[in-house]
This record gives sequence, C-alpha cells and structure tokens, in this order.
Amino acid sequence: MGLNFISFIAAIGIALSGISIHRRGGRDAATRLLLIVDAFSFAYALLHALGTSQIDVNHAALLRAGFACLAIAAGFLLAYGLYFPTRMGRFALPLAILSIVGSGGAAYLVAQGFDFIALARQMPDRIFVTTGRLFYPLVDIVAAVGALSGLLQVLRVFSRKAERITRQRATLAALSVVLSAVGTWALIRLVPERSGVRRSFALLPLAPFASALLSAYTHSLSRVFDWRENGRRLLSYLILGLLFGLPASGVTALLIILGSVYPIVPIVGSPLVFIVAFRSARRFSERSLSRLGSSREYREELESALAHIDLAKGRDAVLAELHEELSDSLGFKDLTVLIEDDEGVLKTVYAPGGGQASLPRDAELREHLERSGLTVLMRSEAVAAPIHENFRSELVTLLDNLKAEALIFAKEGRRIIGIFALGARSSGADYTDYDYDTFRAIYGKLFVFAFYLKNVARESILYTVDRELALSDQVIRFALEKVDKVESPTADVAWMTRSTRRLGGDFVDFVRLSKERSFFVLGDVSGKGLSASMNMLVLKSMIRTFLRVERDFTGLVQRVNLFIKENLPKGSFFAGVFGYFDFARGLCYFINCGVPAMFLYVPSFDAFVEIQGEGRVLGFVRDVTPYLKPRKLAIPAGSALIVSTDGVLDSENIRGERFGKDRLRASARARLDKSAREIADGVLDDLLTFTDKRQEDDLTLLAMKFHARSAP
Amino acid sequence: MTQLDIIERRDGDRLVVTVAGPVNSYTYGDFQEKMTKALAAHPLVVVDMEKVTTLSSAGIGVLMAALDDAEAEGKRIVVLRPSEIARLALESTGFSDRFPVAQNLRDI
Repeated sequence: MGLNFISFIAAIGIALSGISIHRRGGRDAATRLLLIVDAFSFAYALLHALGTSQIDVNHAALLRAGFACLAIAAGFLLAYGLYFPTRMGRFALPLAILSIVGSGGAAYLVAQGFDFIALARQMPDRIFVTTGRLFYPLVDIVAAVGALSGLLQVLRVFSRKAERITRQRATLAALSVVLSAVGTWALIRLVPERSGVRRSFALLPLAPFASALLSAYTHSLSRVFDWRENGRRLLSYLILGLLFGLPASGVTALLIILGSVYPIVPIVGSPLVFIVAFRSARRFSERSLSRLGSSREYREELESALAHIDLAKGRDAVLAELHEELSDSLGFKDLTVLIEDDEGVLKTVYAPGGGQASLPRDAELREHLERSGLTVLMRSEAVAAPIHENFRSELVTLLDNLKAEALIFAKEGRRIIGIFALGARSSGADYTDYDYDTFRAIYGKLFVFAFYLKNVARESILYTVDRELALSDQVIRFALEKVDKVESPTADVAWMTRSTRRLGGDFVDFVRLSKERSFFVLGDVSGKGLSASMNMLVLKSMIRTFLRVERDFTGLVQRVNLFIKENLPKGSFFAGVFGYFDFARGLCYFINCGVPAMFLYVPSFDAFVEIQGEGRVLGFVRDVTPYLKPRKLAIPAGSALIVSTDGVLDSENIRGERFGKDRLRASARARLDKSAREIADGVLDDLLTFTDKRQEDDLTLLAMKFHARSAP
Repeated sequence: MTQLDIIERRDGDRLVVTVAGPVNSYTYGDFQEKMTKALAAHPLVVVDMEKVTTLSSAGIGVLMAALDDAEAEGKRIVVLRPSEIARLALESTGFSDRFPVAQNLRDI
C-alpha cells in the first residue's frame, strides 16, 4: 500500500465528521446540506482510495466515479454556504439549485467518458493516471467558484449587522469551502510532476477531509472563539515544546544511539527523561506560564469573593454584594435575578437595570431548558446551537427582556429554581470560553444564593418576629416532603429526627433510583439553629443534584465534600453515611463519613453486629477521596439495620452516663419483632426515659427491617 | 458546669487560651470570637482543653475553621491536654491527626 492509505484515513475521518454532525442534532437546511456533502465526500475518498490501490479493479472507472462524487459534494458545499450560518434571503434557494444542478452537470462530464480521466494503468508500484482534456479546466473552474463563493459568503455576513458568533461561523464556513476547492486545486496544480507522475494525486482526498473537519467544528461552534486565550495556550505549548520537549527528544535520541552498545540504556533512560521533562514542564507552566494571561484570569478571585459574601446580612445586601462582585470581575453592568416563587413561577426579584421576565412552571421554553440539562447558556449558543433550534426566537427574546448575554440556571435536580442573567460587557467584548468555564465553576456558589433567596430570604419571613421558629416549620416541612418513598416490598423503613429548639442540622434522605434501588443519606451538618438548618437544606438539595450527574459513588461523596468546603460557612462539616440499597439483590453499599453507630442484626448470629467501621467527616480537607472506604453489606431476609447520629449515643442522664451503643442495641433488640416505625419510636422513648426527657443535641435514628420476598 | 469560661494569657509571642466547660451550640459563639481575635494577633495560639466537658460539632467546627485560617496565614494552633471528651470528639471526625496536640506547654 502506497500513499493512498491516506485516502482511506481521509474517508474514515470524513465519515466520523458526518456522524458527529448528525449526533449533535439539528435538522435545518444547512445541517442536511452538510450531511449530504459529507456523504459524497466520503464516497469520493473511498473510491479514490480504491482507484489508486493495487487491487485488481477498473481503476479508471473508480476514479471517474470518485471525482463525480467530489463534483456533487462541491455543489452541495456551495449550497451549504448559502444557508449557513444564516439563510441568504430569497436568492438562497435558486442559487442553491443552480450550484447543485451545475455540479450535477460537472459530475456527468467527469463520469461519462475519457475527457476527465483518460486512462489509469496499474504499474508495479503505483497507478499511472492519464488525464483527459477537461481535467485541468474543470479543476480550475471548481477552484475559482469555490474561492469566489467563500469570499462572497464572508462579505454577505460582514456587510450587515450580525452577532459576533455569526460572523465567526461564516468566516470558518467560508474557509471550509475554500479549503476544499482550492486545496484540491493546489495539490493538482502546485505539486510538480516527476517523470510525468504527480505523487500528490493519491493525497487529493486530504482537501475534502480537512474541509469536513473544519465544517464539523464550525457547525458545532456556539461560543465565541477566544483568539487571545487560544493564542496564549498555543504560545504556552510552543514554549514548553522548545524548553522541554526538544531537549528531551535530543537526550532520548542520544540514548537510542547509546542503545546500540548498551541496549538497557534507552529502555531505562527514555521513561526517566520523559518523567523529568514532564514534571519540569508542569512546574514551569504552573509557576511562569500562568502569568501570560494574568490580567484576564479572574476565576479564583471571583470564587473567593463569592465565598465570602455573608448571607446573614439579608436579602438586599446579599444581592447588591453579589452584583458588585460579578460585575467587577466580568466587567458588565446589568444583573437580573429570577427566583421561583411558591406557585412555581420564575419571577424577577432583582433588576436594577430594568430587565424583566417571568417563566411559568409549564412554559415550554422552561421545560426545554430543564430538559436540556444546561446550567449556563450564552447568547451565542441561543443563536447557534442546534439543540435550541426550535426555541431560538423565544430564547433571544428572553435574553433581550433580561438585557442579558449569559444566563446561569440554578437547578434543584432538573428543576430551575433561579436564573442569574448577566448583562453585556461595558467594553462591548463578548463572553468567551474562559468566561463560560468560569460560570460553570461558580455554579455551586450561585446555587447557594438561589437557594437562599428562594427558601430563606423572603421578606415576609424576614419580618416575622420569631424568625427562627417561623422558619423552622418551613424548613422541617420542606425537608420531610422531599424524601422519596422506599417502594420495595422487602424493606420496612422508618426514621425519626428530633432537634433541640425545633431547629437542627440532622437529616435523613432517601432518593428513589428504581422500585428496588434507593440511595440514602443520614447525617448531621455541624452547627445548630438557623444556620445548621439552612446548611442542611442546601446540602440535601445539592446531594440530589450531584446524584444526577455523578455516577461514581466515591466521586459523589467527594463532590459533596468539596461543596461543603467551598460553599458552606467556614468550619462546617458533615458527619454521616451515604448508602445505596439494592433490595432485589439483598445488598447495601455504603461509605461512612463519620456516622458513629451502624448496627446490623444478623439472624444467623441472632446478634447485632457493629458495621460502621472507620469514617471521616466531610468538609475538613479539600480532597477526601483517599480516605473514603466504600463497603458492601449483605442484608439477608430477617435482618435489621439501625443507624444513629452522635446525638443519640451522647445523650446523658442526670448522673452523667451516656446512652451509648449498648443501650441503643438493647433497645432495638427488644423490639425486633415490631415494625421499623415501632423500633424507631421505641428507641426514642427509651432514650428520653433515660435522660429524664432532657435533650441537649439533635437526635436522628434510622431503622430498617428486611423481609423475604413473598412467593408470586 | 453549664457555663463556658475562657481565659487568655500571653506567654512570650504565643497566646494560651484556656477553655473550661461545655463547648456546644449555646456557647460556641464566644469561643469562636475569642479564637478569631487570638489568631489575628498571635502567630501561635495554644488552646488548653483540659477542662472541656463537652465538645459538640459546633465547637469542633470552630477549631477546624481556626486551623484552616492558621494554615492559610502561616500561623499555628496547638490543642493542649484535651480532656477525654474533647479527645473523643476530635477523634470522631476521623481527622484527629490534623489537630496538633501537646500534653505540655514545654513541648510546644
């Protein structure tokens, strides 16, 4: 196989480009035209590869068929340029038909006889192609039409007012048209002949291949390309390559030479050279190269500033400070905030710039935004992303009404509970990929603000005289309502939570994954009173949000850990347990994060076994992953599980004796023949009798009983 | 004992904060305030916890936050002679090794 293997690679590459466009969705005219272009380009590359191979086939016929496909692809590519990124008014359809018909005519001329490819003979080492009288004129004409079309496409978009993203897409689309036509022409015309043979002939599919890649990228481009940021990255790579890559390559080459005498030297030395170069490059990059973009990189400062906004200052002060921090970092003026009210309507609660909008619970646009799973939406995406093609005008209207260029959605599970609408930059510059990544990075913090505004900082509650107690009812009701029912017929579940002063940070949550599978959390968020309640609710909600996106068990716990560390007030931590029940298989997987007591009653032993093992609280260290120990537990029929927080164990009687694990075990064991509800309530009764009704800490206890599956 | 007593005394460039009584949801505010001020003014703060009768999650949170602040500012916090209850409470976090503990002022 000669150079024509590149044609096979090009064919595969073009097919993959087409598949990626297809998978991104979007069924508008431009997308359909581009898919047709890729289909014909793929056919061309494949036929060309076979036509220049040493396989015993009719090479001339294959090459003619291939070039006919290329001509048709070129016609559809020109038509694509008339519809992308925006349709060229009333001339689009006739011009598109003209270019497709024209390319059909060219394809007929190419395919029908000897005027384009006269002969293709198989030589010992290559295929010798003799071109016909139409070959060069047709190649010249196609190149000229392609270049002219690309130029007109750019002029068309730049001659009128258009979004920057539209101009960038138009430029790149024009470039892909030019690349295909002029690239093919250059490979034919500019590479010199040697002994009457153009070696570049086998490389011709590279031009449509490069064009297909660029088109796929252009089609997927929905955020403004940050030339400075990408230039900076490129420069960083170049510097690293020159300073570390080049010397490392030199040393490796030297080691390979030495290898002819001492074969072990390159085997041992090369990995060492690579490791040293890699570590040095990374250190250099962290210490020196990061300065290249220092003036534009504001993410860390913004994250830190948001983390220091004190929610205790009250709603108006919090919103004003949030506005100030965001606008200082991003250089915009208008911030509008929408928060969901009790009826489920997203309403404007903050809009010093006059932005106004409202999204009812059942609005189709809202359902689309919730279904899409997006947390950040830039105006450029609303204009360009295929996923929004059916809601483009509504999205642009929403952005206009909110005077916004970017929206950040605070989501509880899938449901949007708040929207932060960021206005245009005072400098007129667009938001870039870096800004987009930053919005995603600060999402967790903005969620906390949305949650606070939705659930805590409502003025009607703030003005209540007995604020803590008024809030407690809301807090507790909310917490209780959000627990999913365990539906498995083999599990009997009950729990009790009892807080001092009616407010607390203890909670139990079950999330239904399926009828036979449930995720659960039980624990205690540090602190007491209002702040602990609020932290508990935020954390409970975030765990449900993380469950939607994180499939790895330890990854989920680490996410919760980082959220506590970065978003909850300093010194907050969570002591509890995360678990996953597979009732059908009689299994439980859990990670102890500081819960002090977990007992499993094992019927075959007729005893409670202490199973919680060692655990580390969350929120103390940034990365808790090394300390997490997932455990697997068999839960046979007849077994029972008791889990409690420290409040139960540490409760003291008047003589200063602790209730402790032994009393807890004994209390539960005395009620093993009762229901889970009766076990939980009975343990509480025993505990309160022990302490003479005194309660100094929050009490939480979970009781579960596991039954055999009844015969069908 | 239901009241928290906190006594501060200077010992060279370090401050010894003696805590006696329960550090719980009712008393941790005072402890938090004293620790913040102590750390702002001294490079080394020694927290004598020999007479601590209760150390709830609120109290542990104060120590954790102080430890974080000290690390960020290049300062030190050392827990001196923790009572059995305080020691068990710190151990319950699973990170007791992160709290520098000393049994004697001379060892610090």
